[in-house]
Amino acid sequence: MQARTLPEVMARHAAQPAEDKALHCWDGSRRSYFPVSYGDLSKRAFAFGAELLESPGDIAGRVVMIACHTPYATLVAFYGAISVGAIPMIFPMPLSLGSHEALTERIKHWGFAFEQPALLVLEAGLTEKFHDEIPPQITVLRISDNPAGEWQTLDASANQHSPAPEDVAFFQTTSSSTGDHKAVAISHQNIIANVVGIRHAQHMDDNERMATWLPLFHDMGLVGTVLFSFGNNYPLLIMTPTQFVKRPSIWLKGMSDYRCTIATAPNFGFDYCSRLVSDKDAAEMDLSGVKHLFIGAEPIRVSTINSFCNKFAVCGITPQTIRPAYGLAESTIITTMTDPDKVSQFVCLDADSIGINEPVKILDSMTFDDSKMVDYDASKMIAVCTAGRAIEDMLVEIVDEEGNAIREQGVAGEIAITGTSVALGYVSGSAELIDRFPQGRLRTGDMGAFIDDELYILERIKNLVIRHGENFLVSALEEQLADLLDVSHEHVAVFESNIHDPSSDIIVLVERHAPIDDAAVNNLLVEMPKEAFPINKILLSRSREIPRTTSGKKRHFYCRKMYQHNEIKFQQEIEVSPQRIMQAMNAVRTDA
Amino acid sequence: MSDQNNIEQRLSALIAEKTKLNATDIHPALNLEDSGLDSFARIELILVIEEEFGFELSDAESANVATIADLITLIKEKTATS
Repeated sequence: MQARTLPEVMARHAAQPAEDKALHCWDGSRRSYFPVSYGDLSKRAFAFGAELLESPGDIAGRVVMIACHTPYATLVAFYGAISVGAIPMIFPMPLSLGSHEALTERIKHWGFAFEQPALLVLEAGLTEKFHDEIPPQITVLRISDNPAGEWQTLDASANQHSPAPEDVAFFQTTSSSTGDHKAVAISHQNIIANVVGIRHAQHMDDNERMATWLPLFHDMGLVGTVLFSFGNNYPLLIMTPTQFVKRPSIWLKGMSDYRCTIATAPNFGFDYCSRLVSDKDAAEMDLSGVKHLFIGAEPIRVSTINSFCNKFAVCGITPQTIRPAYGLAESTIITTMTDPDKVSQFVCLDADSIGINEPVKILDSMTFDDSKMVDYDASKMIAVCTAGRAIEDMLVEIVDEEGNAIREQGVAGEIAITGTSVALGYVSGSAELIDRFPQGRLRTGDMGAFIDDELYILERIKNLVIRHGENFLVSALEEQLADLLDVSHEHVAVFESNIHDPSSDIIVLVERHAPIDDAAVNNLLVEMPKEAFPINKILLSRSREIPRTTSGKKRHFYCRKMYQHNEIKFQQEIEVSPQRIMQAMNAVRTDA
Repeated sequence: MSDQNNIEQRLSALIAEKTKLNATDIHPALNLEDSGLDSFARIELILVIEEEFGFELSDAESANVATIADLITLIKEKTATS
């Protein structure tokens, strides 16, 4: 019988022989993986749950913030919290956030967002200075970062916690920008439905093996690889994003050595491997056992897939291995997946034809192994991969701005989803804890269209920038920039110049009557939050230039369209470079 | 030339290369967060440092580095123990 909750999955693992399937943690100093069976991991988590029970106050429904560098410590804390009915929430670490201050700020926000102060789990290795910045009302628990060390174990949950499937399992943060604190509540039922749905959609069996470097604060890393492997009892090789960025070949070599069959990464991960893994290393690997390389979390570039397939054909990668998918934290992780039995298709579209309730103009279509790959004018055309079809128990619709379903194939609109993988709702500070999605239907803020019954992601309506697979909601940044430039936040729009190019420029369009002088720009550059993504260009317009809806909301994707067509009327253009930032910093020092 | 100066010079050259800053802008008090490097580029810088000096830094060690002076101290510690 299928387990219905994570504690049930943990109990099953704990009952298995010690040498059973395992989490293999990359040890950079020893250049090898250290295995810990899922049974041992579960027993250590049960013991950590017992430690949580010793904390002052009730543990049931209490939020446990997890701030650990190593995946192993993160997961012991995560499963430990779940085992006693607490609600874990994994935070990005300073290397991702850009500073210790950003982590402290996050801890202070979420630590006091609920009726009871949240608990905080910190890993050995964080500085004492950091400890001093934690408010004394927050109870801190320490956890070892060494999977090979001595660990307490328990055979079962310390308080016999047995949640209902619809109960909250964990909170997933959904964006990484400073000042923006958004999270979704994921239930046990959501996790199980998604984990089972992916397996069925891809016709997987009991013998799969995975490898990952994805961050565990991200839904693709936590649900898409770790909970997916744990729930299906698949061995998992795991390394940190930092270890991957430093040496991407380790990820692929691990897949080769351990005969892995599944891996998942955003576009930039595949692009990064194509650029940085040497031909010699590629030739020494055997990736012929890999059946599914899932790609998602950020716009997928056809050129990335082509480069990756060409580079790693020598070790057995074929175009059919690449499996584009679409998902978001609000749908636990996966919403749609491509068919594992055929090579995925992509279409070349007239970029000007993309608009809500408008038919998209298809100029060409082909598959990844199609030799007729054409050169196209990126300013006028976009190449978009299929994201496939909804996994079981999920319904995907295209809707217009009023939320009415658009039934016609090839007509663009907002993507709306319903089904058992749709999260319970957004986490709120209210007594109800969760703002539930109306009728369980989520309007995603992404624009798409069905072509031959498969979903294609075309644009982004929501105010979001994606870099290196991480989401940054720009609303908080717009408010900060507005303060610095002395205008209302209604007069600032931050947008990517091309969502289909993950390295495209990030533009700030400012409506401000007076010119921006050097002092204002310097203030902006110096005071910009360190964890914000880099801005490349500031455009100043003296007229009302930001396109808006009839109710006055900014339409960022139209900003992008206008920018691409040189239609933004601006009076001043300021390029922002690292040198420019340094000049501003030095000016401040000199003044001081 | 002292070890300290040697490490500082090698480090300054690596940072100048990565950030495209002038060597005169790179000094021990410089905070890496102010150097124009995003978090991704900082990790790439750490890799270059690891390869230059022949050791590997853990995520926690990398995260605890704030200034060039922190880096110099860490490099001295690591080279002494490796």
